[in-house]
Amino acid sequence: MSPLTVAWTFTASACAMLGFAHFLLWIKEPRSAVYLLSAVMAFGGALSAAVELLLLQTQDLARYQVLLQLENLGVFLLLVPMVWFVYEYFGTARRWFAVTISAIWTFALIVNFLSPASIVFSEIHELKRLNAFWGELFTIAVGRIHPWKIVPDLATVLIGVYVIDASIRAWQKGNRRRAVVIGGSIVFFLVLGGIHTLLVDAGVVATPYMISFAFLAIVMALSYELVNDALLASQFARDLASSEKTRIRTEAELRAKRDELAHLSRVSTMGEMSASFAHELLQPLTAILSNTRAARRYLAEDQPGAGKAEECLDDIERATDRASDVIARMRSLFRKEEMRRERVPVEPMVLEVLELLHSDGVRRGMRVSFDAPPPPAVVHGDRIQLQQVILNVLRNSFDAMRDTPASRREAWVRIELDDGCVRIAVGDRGPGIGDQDAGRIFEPFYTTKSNGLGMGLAISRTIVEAHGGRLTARNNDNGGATFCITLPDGGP
Amino acid sequence: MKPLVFIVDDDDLVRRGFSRLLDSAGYEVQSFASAREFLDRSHRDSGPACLVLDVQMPELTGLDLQEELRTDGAILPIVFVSGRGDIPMTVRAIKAGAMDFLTKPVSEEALLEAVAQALARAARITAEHAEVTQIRTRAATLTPREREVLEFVISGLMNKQIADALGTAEQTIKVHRARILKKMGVRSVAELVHDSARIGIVPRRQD
Repeated sequence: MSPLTVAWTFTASACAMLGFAHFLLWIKEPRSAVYLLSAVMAFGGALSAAVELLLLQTQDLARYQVLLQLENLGVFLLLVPMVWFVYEYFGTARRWFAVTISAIWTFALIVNFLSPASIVFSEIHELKRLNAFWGELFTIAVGRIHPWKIVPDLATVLIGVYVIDASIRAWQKGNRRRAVVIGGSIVFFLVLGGIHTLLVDAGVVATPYMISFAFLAIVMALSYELVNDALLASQFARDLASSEKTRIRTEAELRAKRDELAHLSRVSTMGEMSASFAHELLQPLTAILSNTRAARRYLAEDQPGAGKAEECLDDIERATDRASDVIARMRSLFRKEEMRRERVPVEPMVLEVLELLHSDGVRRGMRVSFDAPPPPAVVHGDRIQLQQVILNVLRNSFDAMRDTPASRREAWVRIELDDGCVRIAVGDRGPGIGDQDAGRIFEPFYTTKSNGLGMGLAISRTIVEAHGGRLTARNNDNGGATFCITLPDGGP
Repeated sequence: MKPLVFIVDDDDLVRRGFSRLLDSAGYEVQSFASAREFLDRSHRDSGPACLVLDVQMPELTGLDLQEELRTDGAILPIVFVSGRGDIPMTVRAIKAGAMDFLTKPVSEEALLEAVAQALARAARITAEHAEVTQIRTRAATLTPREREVLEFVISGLMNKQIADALGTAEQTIKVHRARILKKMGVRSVAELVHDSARIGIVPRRQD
């Protein structure tokens, strides 16, 4: 195969390959016009190269003229999309300039196809066969230059000006690399290819048209930049993914810490309440013991009281159930696991806490009232952690009323549904929150109790916030304080 | 008649348990879920009785009820039952006259023993109460003169000395003395001295 054939075939296939590559990118990302534009440019380059190869081989004038028209189509397909590529890619080009150039080139293309010997020649005198320096023969045309050939030439010059203008503005905007690599290579190869073509057309130099070589260079420069962009984007995506992973891990660690802290605080509260729990267990045990002894006595009577003994057994069963309930509740509060997200009906949840605190309250002379007007409220979250919050807040109320006269030791729990929120209000008739404490009671390690750790409210607030809610406190108008746990409504 | 035991405990299961145990031991039992409920019923004329009382109850506690009964002057031995053996609480209850202080879970023996003792005391108090009442009733039948003579008699004066002190005849005092012994239902001056002391009649000394 001759060197000329090899060179142009190579150029044509390289352009076509790049065209396909860019076209595939465009398919993947149809919103990115630059890929489509660069694909069309590459195909334009491929067309030019193929046509140039045929031009330098043909010896038939009619065929030569048609090929010349096609060559200009190739040039058109490269240059006009290139103008718009620069417009899209740089973002600094002037639109009217791009429109003008496109219009001029479209006009030139129409003239090209209307003229018998394209827009290059108005008439071709002859086809000359010349020798390349290594002896291979190729064809060039000799003829009169078309008067309107000035139009595409002018358009090419305008493209140069247009690209230089866009590049300078991109440079000023700090987009220097783009300005140099794309703008620089377009202008350089455009000038090179343009001048060479002018010289060939004018018959000054005797070489085949080599405009496709310049085109290949331009298309390669664009590809280089686009590939670079794609690499940067994927790197960015990887970084983003890894930072997202870090964020998720940090959040998970924080969550685990919070759950652990909640558990610790729960266990410590349970420790403080152990006397109450012992009492809660003693009651059913006492009932079991006395019923058992009573049953023995009934059965030992001369006329055994089986009916009465059976009643004893019934109560023994009830007492056993109650003791198991107490233990189950304690165990669930001692349990350590990560925060759940489940449907939690509020009223039974609160009632369980009240039962848990019952004997503690009785011992301390507290009266606790409970109010939950219908409809029943439901929230989403971790039942145990929410119970912990209510337990904490209610025990604080008890503590606050330590020095309150016995007749005024009242606490109340109220469940309210309000505009997409479920509010659990816990109020007391203690001394209320002092001015100097008001802003600080939710801070960790801040406590007003002589034996407190100062973690209860801090952890409670963290738990409530993890449920997307708020824990707030205010003083009542008629003495005492009210704590409000506000949670998103979990629906019916 | 079966001895009567009251039970006051706010816990249904515990209350029924105690109630059955005492019932099976042959006592008449009346139980109440709160101190208020117990106070609201009339219980004073029911004869010898005792009270098994839970310490920790909402509203009025066991100790509050004890206080209330004391100011009322009721004679009702109390056996306290508590979930926790809190020393200050126990001391307070015992000082205020509690018979016993049991901690839960209460053994059958402890409860029955404490109740038996409390009832024995109740019976004793009731009996004493009855005797004193009888003596008072008898003393009330004495005329003022006889009452005067009684005070001299129990101070150990002879009839002659009393007659001198009152400026009357010895024979008259002798008649008074016989009538006093009869009215007071005693056969000797020693018994008279004893009964008078129980209802607080003070001997009169001649100066």
